[in-house]
Amino acid sequence: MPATSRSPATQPDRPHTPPNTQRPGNRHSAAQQTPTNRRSQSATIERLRQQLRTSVAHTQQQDVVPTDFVALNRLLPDQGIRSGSVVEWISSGPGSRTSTMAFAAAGRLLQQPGALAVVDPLHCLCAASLPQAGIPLSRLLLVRPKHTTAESLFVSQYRLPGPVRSDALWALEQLARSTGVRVVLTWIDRLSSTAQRRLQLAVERSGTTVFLIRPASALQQPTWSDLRFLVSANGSSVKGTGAKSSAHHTSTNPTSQWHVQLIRSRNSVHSQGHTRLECQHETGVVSEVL
Amino acid sequence: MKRVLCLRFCNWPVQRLQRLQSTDSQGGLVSRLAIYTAAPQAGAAAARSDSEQRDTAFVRDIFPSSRSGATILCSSQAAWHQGVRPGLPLGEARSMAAPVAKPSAAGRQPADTHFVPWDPVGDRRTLMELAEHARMFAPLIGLENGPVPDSLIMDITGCGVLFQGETVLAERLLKTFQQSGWQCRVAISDSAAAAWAFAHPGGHLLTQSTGPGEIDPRFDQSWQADSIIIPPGQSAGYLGSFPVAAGRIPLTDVRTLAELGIHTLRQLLDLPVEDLPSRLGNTTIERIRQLAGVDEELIRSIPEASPITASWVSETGATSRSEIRQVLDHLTQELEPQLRHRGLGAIALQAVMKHEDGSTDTLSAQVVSPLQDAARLLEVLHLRIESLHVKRPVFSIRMTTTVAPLPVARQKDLFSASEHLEPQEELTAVINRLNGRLGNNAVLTAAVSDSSVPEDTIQLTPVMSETAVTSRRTAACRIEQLVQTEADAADKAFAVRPVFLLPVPVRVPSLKPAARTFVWEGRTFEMQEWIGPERVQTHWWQEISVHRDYYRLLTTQGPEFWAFQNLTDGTWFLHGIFE
Repeated sequence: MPATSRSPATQPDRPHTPPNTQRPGNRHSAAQQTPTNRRSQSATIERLRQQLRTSVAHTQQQDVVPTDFVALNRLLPDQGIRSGSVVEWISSGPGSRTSTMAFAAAGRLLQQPGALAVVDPLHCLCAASLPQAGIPLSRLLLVRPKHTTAESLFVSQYRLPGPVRSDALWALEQLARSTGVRVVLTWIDRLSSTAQRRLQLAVERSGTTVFLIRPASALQQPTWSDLRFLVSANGSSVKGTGAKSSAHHTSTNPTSQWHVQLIRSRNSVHSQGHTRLECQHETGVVSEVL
Repeated sequence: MKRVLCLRFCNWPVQRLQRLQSTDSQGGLVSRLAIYTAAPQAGAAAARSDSEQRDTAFVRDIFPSSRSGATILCSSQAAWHQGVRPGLPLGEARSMAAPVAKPSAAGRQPADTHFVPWDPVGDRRTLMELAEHARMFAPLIGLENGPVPDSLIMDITGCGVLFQGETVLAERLLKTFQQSGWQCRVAISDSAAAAWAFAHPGGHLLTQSTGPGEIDPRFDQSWQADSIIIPPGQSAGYLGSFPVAAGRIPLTDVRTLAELGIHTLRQLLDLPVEDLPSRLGNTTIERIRQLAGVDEELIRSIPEASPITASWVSETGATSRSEIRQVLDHLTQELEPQLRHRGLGAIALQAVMKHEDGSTDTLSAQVVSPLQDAARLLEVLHLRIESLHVKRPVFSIRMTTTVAPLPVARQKDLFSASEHLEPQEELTAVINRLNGRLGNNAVLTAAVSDSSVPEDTIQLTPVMSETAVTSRRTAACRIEQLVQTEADAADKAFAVRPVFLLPVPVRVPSLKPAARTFVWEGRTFEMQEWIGPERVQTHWWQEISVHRDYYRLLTTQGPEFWAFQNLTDGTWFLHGIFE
């Protein structure tokens, strides 16, 4: 008998299984857990997560790109946005500046080679707004599936007709699979678990980062994304003098402000809290509110 | 950047006939040869093709004597030295060429001068036949766009690397033709107009002031070399000193310009473009715009003599999409060995499907870079088939290809075939697929235009155009830019613009500064703040007049709009959303 062949009972490294181990499908499992067990499980999960992070850290470290916003980076498990991840930007409502925020984050990712592909099923993207976010126009690949509906994007809240949705999703996945694309960004309301899983597999293979800008209704849906941000408007402010209501004026330094809250992070226990950003109306520069 | 080569055949009508005559008589080249235009005959014009009529009109414009009788068009160097010059009436030329020399000691008479009628159709046809010998140097070859052509125009954008540089390409091209006995010159520049000018510094063949093979004293000898290669972006600087005639300007306009004291291309290009249409013809304006790089000259491709095709015919007919797909799969696989045999790649596939009544449907697919692999071609074709509606049986399908040289093959990684693929290659593949399913107009790149009107500030261009075959190389350049990390300096000068721009400005009657609310898309918005204005207006000479004051409009509900007042009539519009 070979030396390595042992009966299971005699294997020294085999972990001991306690008699009260909870198995999947046990209906009484939750009720039988004590606070001590739960703490133990949390510690185990955290330890396993740590091991996972350590094991892949050497491959991921070079692919993490910090955003231009230090406070936002602090919320992120890797202090930046990892290549090959799916990031959701959830808009709390109209005027939340979610798209502005997403483009500002995408601009930094374009410091690496690859195109910014924008799937624009609503045919409404103003490409002239991208240079403000640090995105060179020469890097923009705009994909516009045929769109026949006359309904505006504002009313539709990124709701797409069936054929347009299928074309947009198909294009999104194709672009996410390509290593020639650095970031893919699109606006979409509903996304099935299958579509999300396909996207996840696609970006894991290619290293492309997918930004999905979605309405608040997406919060009710399950997600496979690596990061999920909730962006909500915080109103506008006017620094200095000259602010008037309901009248024309030339403001000295008006800004729009919004909150960004990280509400999901797949690989780690995320930092609680949020950060506040603002966009200067005159320059279009997005910065943190200190 | 686009690169165009002009291959000029020196003294073309004479050179062609000299070779033709020598072939017939199995002797050396006929040294004394002159070509004349026949005297005009009533009713002959109707029988001529458009190009022939254009050539004849051009000749009559240059040589007024040809309107009334036979006139010398061009002559060989030996005949020229005899005094047989272009524009001379044929009878006079014959007397000039009559041998007056006495027989030599050996008793040999000096050779007679051959007078041969002009054959513009034959000239064009032979030039097109010669294009076949140049196929390996460029994917797109066309005749020069003008009367009495003597040159082939070749789009060689991106082809230089295939030959270790444009210099080697030019040398090999020249060698190919010179070994066959043709006398030719090559000029490479950024546009067809510039390349033609560098190959014809003295202007058109028929307007030359010097004899065949003689050096034009107006130009430095380097401009009369066999091969002229202008580095990218430097054409305008060199062209300036050339005479106006080098710009293919019609003779009447050359005379008009000369009367105005404009003799060089620099003087011509410095003229205010807005005033030119009132003084010069459309052709001249077109040429000026092409020389200035404003317009791109379309190279009309010469069809291949033996295209790569595959056909299928059936008595029963294909009635469903899946059956047609099977046939197309089979035909594409038939094309692959033909492509491999010729060492070419397909950049477009066109399947013409014929129905019982003789009507046809066409299915076409294009790819950005040349492909040989049937599987990859099928991948693109399948996406097109999905949008095909088969209403009637298809009884025959003929598939044709547009071909181009394959890009340089690189050694792949030892362990993985895809590991070392360049990002632009990956991007090219995905663009092929996107174009296949969504159509060419759905995949766009952006560039800054010179318009100040917000909806036109950015020019969106399909990566691959449906019509322009010449855009293939441009597409490859665009894709390369997409993956590069160098920022475009022109982007930095932009004013702040909203992320969303409505396709057309929407007039909102309830939107007024004095009002507290306005209604749009069935929703009422309470106005909180107006910030602005930013005035946007066009110049007085532009066709579309725009005079707007833009405001950023903040509402209590959250959305920030971009609204403007039309200063012409005071109406208010919503144009964008800061989102």
